[in-house]
Amino acid sequence: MISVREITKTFDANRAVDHISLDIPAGMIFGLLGTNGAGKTTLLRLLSGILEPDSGEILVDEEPLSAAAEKIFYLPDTPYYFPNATIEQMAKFYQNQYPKMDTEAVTYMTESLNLDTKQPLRIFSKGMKRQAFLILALCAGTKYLLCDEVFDGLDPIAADVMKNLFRQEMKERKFTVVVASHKLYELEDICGNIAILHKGGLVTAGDMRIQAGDMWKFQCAFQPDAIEGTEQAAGRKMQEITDSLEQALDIVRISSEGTFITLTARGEKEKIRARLKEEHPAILNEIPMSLEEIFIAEMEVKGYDIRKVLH
Amino acid sequence: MISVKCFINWMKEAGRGHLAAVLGWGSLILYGVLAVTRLSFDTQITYFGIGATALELRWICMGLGILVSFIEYFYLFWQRQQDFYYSLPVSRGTIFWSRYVHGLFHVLMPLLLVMAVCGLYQAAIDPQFGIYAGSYTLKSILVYGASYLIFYHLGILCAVICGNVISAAVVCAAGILYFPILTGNICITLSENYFITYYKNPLLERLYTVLSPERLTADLTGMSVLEKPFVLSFTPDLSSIAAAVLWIGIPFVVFAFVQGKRKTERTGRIFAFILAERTVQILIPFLTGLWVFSFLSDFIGTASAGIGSLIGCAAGGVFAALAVHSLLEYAVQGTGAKLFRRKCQLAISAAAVLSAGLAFPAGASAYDSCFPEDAGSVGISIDGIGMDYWTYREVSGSRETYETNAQLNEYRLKGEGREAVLGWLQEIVRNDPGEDAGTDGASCTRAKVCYYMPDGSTRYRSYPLNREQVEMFADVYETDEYRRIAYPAVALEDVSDDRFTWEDGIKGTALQITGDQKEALLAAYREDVSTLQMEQLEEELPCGYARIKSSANGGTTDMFVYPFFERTCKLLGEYGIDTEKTLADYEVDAIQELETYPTTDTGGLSSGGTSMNYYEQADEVAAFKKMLIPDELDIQPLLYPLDHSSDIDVSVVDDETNSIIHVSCAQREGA
Repeated sequence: MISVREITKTFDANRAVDHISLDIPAGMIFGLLGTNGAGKTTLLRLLSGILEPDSGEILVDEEPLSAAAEKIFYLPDTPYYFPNATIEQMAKFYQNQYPKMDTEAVTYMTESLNLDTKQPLRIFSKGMKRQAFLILALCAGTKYLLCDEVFDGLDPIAADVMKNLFRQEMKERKFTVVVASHKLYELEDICGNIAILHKGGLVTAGDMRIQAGDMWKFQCAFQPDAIEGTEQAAGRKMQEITDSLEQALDIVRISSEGTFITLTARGEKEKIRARLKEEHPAILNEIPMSLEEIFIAEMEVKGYDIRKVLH
Repeated sequence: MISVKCFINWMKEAGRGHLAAVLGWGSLILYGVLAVTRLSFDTQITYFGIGATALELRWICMGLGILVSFIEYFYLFWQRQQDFYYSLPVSRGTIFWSRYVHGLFHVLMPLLLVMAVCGLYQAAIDPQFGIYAGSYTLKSILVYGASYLIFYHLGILCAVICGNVISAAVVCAAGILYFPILTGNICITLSENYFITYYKNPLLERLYTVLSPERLTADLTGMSVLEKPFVLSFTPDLSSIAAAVLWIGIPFVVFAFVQGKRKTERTGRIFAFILAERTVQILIPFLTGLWVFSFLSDFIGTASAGIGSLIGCAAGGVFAALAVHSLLEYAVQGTGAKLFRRKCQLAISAAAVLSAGLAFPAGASAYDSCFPEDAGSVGISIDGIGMDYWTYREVSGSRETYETNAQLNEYRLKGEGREAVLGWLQEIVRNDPGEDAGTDGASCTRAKVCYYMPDGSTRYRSYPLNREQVEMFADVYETDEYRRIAYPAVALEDVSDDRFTWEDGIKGTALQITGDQKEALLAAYREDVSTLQMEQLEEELPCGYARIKSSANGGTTDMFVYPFFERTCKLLGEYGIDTEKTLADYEVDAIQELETYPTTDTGGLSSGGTSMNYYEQADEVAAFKKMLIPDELDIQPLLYPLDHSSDIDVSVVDDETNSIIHVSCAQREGA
């Protein structure tokens, strides 16, 4: 586990990381989400030992970071490679640095992705370079892999290929991946835990689905003939129902459109359902929540404009 | 340490680009090939290591020092590469020092091999070199290795303290040029402008050498030594060795200490350390301010403008320091910079400029009135005495100091001459050399003096002299000690086998005399010189000179004979030499006169400049040649000045060989 304790990093007057405390559990893919300038890259560079924090400490498996450098592989958004180096040569270089580097696995994975190990990396496309370095990172055999914006700018197919590489490797050996991104959709299908950073600070962190364990989303539809009178009267009626529900339930989010009401509320599911039935809806459906919706709900409660990291 | 991460592996990684290795081995092997080729043609004035002819090797070592340091530590300027290295499980120290050793290895190793091969080759073909082969080769390796290290360490220091390659290159250039500008330009200019008696300062000259990496390498590698015996046995001066050790050691200690503290996030900035930024922000404005101070003192002129000039220079210097400080602040901070956020620092720079600049005028009086009467000996050289007209012209314009320096060494008075010259100088110093005091008014020449102090140090002064003070110099001139130096022929012994030739400035005549007659001639000359008075030199020029060529060593000594040297002239007459024969007595075919005069500005157009006159008519020639003196006899330009306003070439008919002799002449003044 990587434990971050109250770390701060300041560049001149700009506090890039501001008293962040965070636990990154072992054996899972952990997402770091935030807009540009939120401090994701700085946090990753701190975790990889490139930068030194102004204050606070980082422990890796309860050891100081400096003693655990061999356990960490850092994959930046634009990886560095030696001039004219091939994948094979880079693998050989990494083998000298990381004793558990599996060069055979590199060969196998590059072949399966049709990457030529004899060609210089400089002639590869952006996506191919990303795939090549992800292969090298996965095959380095480190316990922790820190990836910065690895999916940024990739087409959906290339992104899927890379995500599959993560999944396959996770199946084979339990290791920890920290992926930083400024787009939630890049992380939601692979990350168990996600931390949101904003202006150098930590907004929230953890498994959102667990945090959303007592949160339910329902959609109700009311019969038009049940709503009497004119259109204005119907609108007033819907507003009354909405106000009534807001008073009765722990509403996270509620919206009405015509005769439809969609709401997200906290509490016991059956009690919420029972209260909704009291309003005699023609249709009452429970709708599963996506990670994005959970985030939206959570972040709106905390006052963070989550739309910045959506699409 | 895990074996795969060991130092040697990282050294191999340092050489991944092979650029440093190619540069080091390539340039030095190329030099070696050229050196061996040149040695195969000549081993007398061709040196592969120490010595004036191995200039290329010195530049190769200096250039490699800077280039290799920047190549090895380029990762410090490039964030991507630096992130890559620092994210790997290897210490920053390993990366840093492996590159350091890599840079050393790929220059010092080829240097050692090339020097060894050249040494072996020369030893094989040059017997004279044989006994020096080991010491000379080893010393060459050491001095050129040191030259490389000086620049290599300076380059690394700049790479470590700077955040990008441009600022590192600029700081490196500033580091190389800073002290040479300060000591070789600014201090000398200020000294010349404020010290009336300033001639030169040995301490400044030494500082200029040891504080300039480039000059220091020249000094270490014996660039001023040309003669083979001196080159082969050359050992650098102790102060140069000490300076080299400091130039190598101080940057090493600094970068070894700070490299571990360099913050990754400072990469790309101008400076990687705030302390470096502050230091440069103090030093550069100080230098610029003082430079402007000295420039203005040169431009405005110190003596004429007085206190106004001083205020102008000081204001200019402070303004320049302020401007450069602001410029550096802007460079460091970019747009929206707070130019005066470091007011204290700015105040330090400005105060330093004022203190250093004003120290010169403040100390001028003490400097000019300093009279080291306890000097063990005194070297003296007066512009225009003991030198021909053309030398006088060069030294009086301060364009050339070679002859003056030679005289200061040659005319080093220790006995009665010392007492006389100190007495004479005391009078000059007492009369305040800053003012053109004296009955004769303005100064007409300068006396350059070197006081050789008992502790081995030297102090140089240049005193302006008026006519009266020149005449007072007779007290010195007429001492035996001075005469022996001024007339070296009097010190010759056993000249019976030497060859004597009489030269009258037009043609030479071999003296067919016996050994006894030669000794007698020299004895007569000694007597004439012993009774010579300086005022006589204002009345006559030599009628000729006897050139004595030593049979022992081939050296020549000129024995100038004045018409008032009665004993000498009489003997020469007995030996068949007509000492009264002048140019007027020769048959002259023609006289060519090239007049030069200042160009006049007429409505934006320049006209005139030179005018060529020919005199071929017998009466014209006869009248003109009486006024002419051959240049060879014009050896008292101060005491007996001639008119050199035109170049005169006289075509003299030589009856013996039926040929024409061309003689350069000057006119008697007022002719």
